[in-house]
Amino acid sequence: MNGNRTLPCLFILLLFITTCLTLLAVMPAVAAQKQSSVDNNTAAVAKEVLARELMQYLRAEYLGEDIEHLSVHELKESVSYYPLYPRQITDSANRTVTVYKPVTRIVVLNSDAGEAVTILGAADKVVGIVDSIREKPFYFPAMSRQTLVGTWKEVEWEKLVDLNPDLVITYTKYGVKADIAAEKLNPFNIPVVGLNLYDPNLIPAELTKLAILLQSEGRASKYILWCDKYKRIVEEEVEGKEKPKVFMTKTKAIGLTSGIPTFGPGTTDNELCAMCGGINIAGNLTAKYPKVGAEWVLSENPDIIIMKVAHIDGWDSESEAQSLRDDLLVGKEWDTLNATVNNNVYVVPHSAIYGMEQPFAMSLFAKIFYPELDIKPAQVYKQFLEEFIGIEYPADKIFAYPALDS
Amino acid sequence: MNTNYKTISLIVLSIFMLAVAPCVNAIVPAATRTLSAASPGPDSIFDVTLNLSGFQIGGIVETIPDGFTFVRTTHPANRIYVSGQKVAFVVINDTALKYSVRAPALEQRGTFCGIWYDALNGTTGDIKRTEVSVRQIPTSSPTPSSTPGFEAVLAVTVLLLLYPLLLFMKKGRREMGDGRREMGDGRWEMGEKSKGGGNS
Repeated sequence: MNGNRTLPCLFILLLFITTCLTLLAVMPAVAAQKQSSVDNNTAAVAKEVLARELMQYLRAEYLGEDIEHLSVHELKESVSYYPLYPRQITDSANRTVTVYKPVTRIVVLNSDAGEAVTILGAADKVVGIVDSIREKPFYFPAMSRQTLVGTWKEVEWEKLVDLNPDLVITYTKYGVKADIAAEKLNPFNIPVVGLNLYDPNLIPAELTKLAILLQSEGRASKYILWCDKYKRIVEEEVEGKEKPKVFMTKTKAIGLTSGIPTFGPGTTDNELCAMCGGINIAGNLTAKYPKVGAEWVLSENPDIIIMKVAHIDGWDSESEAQSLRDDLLVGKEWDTLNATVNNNVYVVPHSAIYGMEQPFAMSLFAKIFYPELDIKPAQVYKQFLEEFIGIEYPADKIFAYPALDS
Repeated sequence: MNTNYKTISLIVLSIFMLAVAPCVNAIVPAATRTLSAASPGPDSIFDVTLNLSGFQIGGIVETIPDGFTFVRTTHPANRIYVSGQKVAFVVINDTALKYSVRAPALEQRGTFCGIWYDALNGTTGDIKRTEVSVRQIPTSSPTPSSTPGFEAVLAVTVLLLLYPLLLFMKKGRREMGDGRREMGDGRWEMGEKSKGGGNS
């Protein structure tokens, strides 16, 4: 009776062990398959970085050298993801940034980075944010509810460290600069990447770098192709046309007759204006952010005036936008300007100009400069929101005033 | 019923044994060292080969005996580091690595030792020690083989010396053979019998 039970048990046990061992035997083949699915560049970088880290470890542990190195546990973890990891880039502050395993906890220190992370499909990995994201629940319905670590200009470092992130994304030139952030966070082994995800000329390269760290190269490519498509359309549409003179300012200009803020050479606004076939009347001034008088604007006689309105993602009614435009013109005696005479004084949301909405900004400016063009900014924006940000386009919102034929 | 289970169990056991063999080899990290010359000559260069199994990513740290000098390796330059008598190799999907060592100028004995490090499992272990003994090759008078045509001259000389001897032996055998025939009848018969008996 016992023998009858023992034999089936033995049979099952042997079968189980055989299966386990067979699985172990085929694991190298599975690993080889994983390797073949990694693109050559990623694999080459991973090999180089891993070789360097392993050598650091061997030198420290077995040759007695006093050098920084990963721990056995860190190496073990990184090796388990090889050849997909380690991943390494040079950020826009010319710093080498390495991630040794998939990034799972991100802190974003500006809304452009928030948008980029969303486009790359990693919004659910964000654990810490700043005020500019908290203020945009429309763009970031879930992300905006994450832990606030400060403003885009000032961060509570302890709070940030407590979140135990494995990547912090910030700017290199504005707000919390990457160098400063790295200095604060290096002692905690928290990698910082400095990317300027607001500059239309840099966005493709910056997004590609971030995509490498977040293992989202495919999503980045899709977005960059979409951007290139609209950039090409706008370039083709505006080519050879007579360029309008454009004056760009912001809400702070309301009530001022002198010291009116505008955008000079080297600004995103200036770049965008040129890309869309306009001539920025402040483009030849020496200051990056010059302040001009109402009389100077009068003498330049722009064909178009654009006022950017901050902290808004569009208006619920035309009257809101209209009153802002009217306020801008008060006291400036711009009645004789081409822009005023032809009803070409526009108000647009600040958020449309900067960041990842670049194709929308280009199509919007091109349409303002050349109303006859067959470009529909609203459709571009709808595509951006629904395909890349993952939110529904608010059809009842106004994104430019006076209304454009979209 | 029992017989069936026994048969099936034996089959499974056989499969188990077949599965175990490669797995054991794959699971247990190991490195074995072989020298191209266990007793190299003084100041000669010999190769050290390490065959790796059971781990794909990690490292090897070799300790070359005192008096011996690391010369070169076929391993990629960014994955090797030499510090005194120790040589560190980073292993990334390598199944073997090879390096060359120069023996000391004088006769000497030494031992190669080393460790392997499996980064995926965070384990480490010793590589079996390998003895090496530098020996002076005994000096002898210049070898004839170094003289061109020496073999041919030697062969001819031997043939010339052997020829009279062969002639002498042939003549002697002819004389002995007659004698055998004289007294050979009885022996012949005996021989035939003996041969027949041996075969039976």
